[in-house]
Amino acid sequence: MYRNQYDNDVTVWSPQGRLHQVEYAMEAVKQGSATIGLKNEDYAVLLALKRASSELSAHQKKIIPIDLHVGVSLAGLTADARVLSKIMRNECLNHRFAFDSPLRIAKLVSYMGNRMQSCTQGYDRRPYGVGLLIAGYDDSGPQIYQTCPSANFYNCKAMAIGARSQSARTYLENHLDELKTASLDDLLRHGLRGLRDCLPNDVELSSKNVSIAIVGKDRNFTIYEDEGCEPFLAMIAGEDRGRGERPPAADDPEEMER
Amino acid sequence: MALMRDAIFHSEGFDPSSQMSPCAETRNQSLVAPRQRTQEPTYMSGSVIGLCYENGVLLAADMGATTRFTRIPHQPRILKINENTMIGVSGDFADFQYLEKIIEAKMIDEERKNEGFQMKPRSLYVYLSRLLYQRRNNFNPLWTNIIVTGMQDGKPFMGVVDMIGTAFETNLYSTGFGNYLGMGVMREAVEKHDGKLPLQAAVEALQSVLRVLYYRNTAAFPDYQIGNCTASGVKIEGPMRIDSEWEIAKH
Amino acid sequence: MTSIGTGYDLSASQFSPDGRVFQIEYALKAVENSGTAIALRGKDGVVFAVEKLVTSKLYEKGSNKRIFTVDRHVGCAVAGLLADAKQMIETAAKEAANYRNEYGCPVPISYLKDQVALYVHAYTLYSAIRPYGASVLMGTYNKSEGSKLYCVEPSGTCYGYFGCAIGKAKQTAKTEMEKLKLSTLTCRELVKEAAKIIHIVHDEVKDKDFELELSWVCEESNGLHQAVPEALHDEAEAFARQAMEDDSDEGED
Repeated sequence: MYRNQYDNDVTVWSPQGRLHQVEYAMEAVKQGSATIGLKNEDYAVLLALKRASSELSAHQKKIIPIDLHVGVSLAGLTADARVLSKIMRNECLNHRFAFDSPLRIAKLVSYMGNRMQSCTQGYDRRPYGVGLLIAGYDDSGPQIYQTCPSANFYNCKAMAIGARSQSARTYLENHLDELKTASLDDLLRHGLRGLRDCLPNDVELSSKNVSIAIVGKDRNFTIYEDEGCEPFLAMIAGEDRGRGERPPAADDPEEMER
Repeated sequence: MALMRDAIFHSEGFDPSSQMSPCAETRNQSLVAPRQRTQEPTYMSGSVIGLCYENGVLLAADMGATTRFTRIPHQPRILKINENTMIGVSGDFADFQYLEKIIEAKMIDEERKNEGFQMKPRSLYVYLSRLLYQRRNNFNPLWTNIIVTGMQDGKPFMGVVDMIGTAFETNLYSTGFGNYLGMGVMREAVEKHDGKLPLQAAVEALQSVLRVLYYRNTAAFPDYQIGNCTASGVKIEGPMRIDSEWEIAKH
Repeated sequence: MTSIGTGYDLSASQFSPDGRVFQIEYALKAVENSGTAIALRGKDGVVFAVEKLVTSKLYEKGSNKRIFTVDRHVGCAVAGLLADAKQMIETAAKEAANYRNEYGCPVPISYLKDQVALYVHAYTLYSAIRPYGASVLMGTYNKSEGSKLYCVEPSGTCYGYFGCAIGKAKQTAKTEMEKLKLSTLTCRELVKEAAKIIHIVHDEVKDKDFELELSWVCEESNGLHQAVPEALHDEAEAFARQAMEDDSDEGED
């Protein structure tokens, strides 16, 4: 899909003042399976859809722990996410060593932003092709941040990224007012419903394809996989799959950013 | 973050060659003495004393620095770091000023990045302990004893770091001479009030320690400051003067 | 853009036959795609105001601020690619910290803006890197020297201003500014005017939602760069809304 002569390098501005390579990297996020982050007053929660590359392979892990108080889920290039999470882990450890306290999420994310930016400005590198949802808990309460290949990041009330995630975003927007006061169980229900909306009609949520992570007040970042997810899945078992398909990407916030 | 690492890890790595004579010939001679860094301090300041009381924490110190022959009066040694942290430093005065600069740069960086969230006293205490321990391991210590105090999540906090990186948390402490002469007075005050020491009694305890120190140490100064940190912020008062009675010396 | 393409616009290290470096001009375009940011220099300080476009309801209020503090006494408002702008801010902050460490006093902005401009300019010289896609408004105030305001652009040029606007609606904003007698106004008054300008230039059809960011560095803030106090912020918003309504009423007559 060759588009024009300005899209070969991140070092080249298009006449409209756009960076096509960065925008293409943003597309990589939309290829990844969907993941959702949301929070109430005390907890931040991540939910992700896992994919298996073949019948014989295991499902690709989607949630990566960073520190006791923070973890990420990813959509896009998994290998890039691992590089980023290693950097984040390092920052958190350094902070714990120097100050014996957890690194504030806002600071962590802003540090990451600067690291990611430098990849968008040199001929010798490429932008990271991954979007992250960062869930953490610190003195300002639970946090959900979204990072993009463009090195932009957003402090979110709730967010969904990845393939077909527009339907989840619509779901979250519609229930935004309930989230803050929701119980942890309700929060997870909202998350699962949103995640379910990202699936094609013939696929169901199962303990195989779902990962869940919770972090919050008096609760370290904990990941639930496989059987661990079953109690959560049971919470929405038997519910109707609400609305059907939504036209994707119509009012994608990322698209509008450009 | 990078600034922090610079401060901690780049504080002059131990590189003997760089400090020896640049002349290659000299370097090859085994006569060159091993490199020596600070062996003794120059301008020194006296004790800093600190005491946690019922709903806050106090720091007190006389004001000034001395060598054996010269004195610099009126030098404050208690610093407000932010709304919930203050520190008191004794030891080499130039090292104290260097620390002051490092901490100020750190605080500006914090203010800039943290959008209103301030570093907590315990974090600063841990940071300083890492810094001083690192320096000691490089055989290039900062000749200082530091008391970090403040309100940590609503509770009085006191942490002590010395020049070799020893660090501990406590509720009352004095550096220097006061460690021998003043700790008893403070401890007695705390015990008398069963752990619920009121402000007034705490101030009086500190003042009496200051007086003892002033009487017994020729290097001490009569002017002093008292810093008070409570939930409503840091307030440093002074200079005030120690009331002393020297008539008895004539007999 | 009058003459795009023609093959001479693919690298920052290449001139076109008529002596232009198109890559820099394109980078400037990125700034002009962004929400508007303005700065006004009054008699007792500098006021910053930013039209922060909110592209999703899911973002927290106050996410992605575009006003930054470089050092206690220097404030900045930015337009363009936010990630690029943050990198410029980071550079400025390091320079400021460096200066403090070296000379023991706050960095003079006349020096700071030059350092940042030099840094930005270096990115316009090579093919291996691209120019920054952001402009930075930089202001300060102190009692002895009064207020100062500069704007650093992607090209690495830097001018001083009485009032400056960058971003989408910079033209309209500049026209509005010219109506004010800037050097006679106090920051308290300017905050309101700044809020009004941002409200006027905001394009409700294209950009729907926005948050107004206001900050100042002035006499009243003791020479520190701070967010405008909440009460005054609200007052300014109300003033701006009122002014907009009055305007549209007049239009109907």
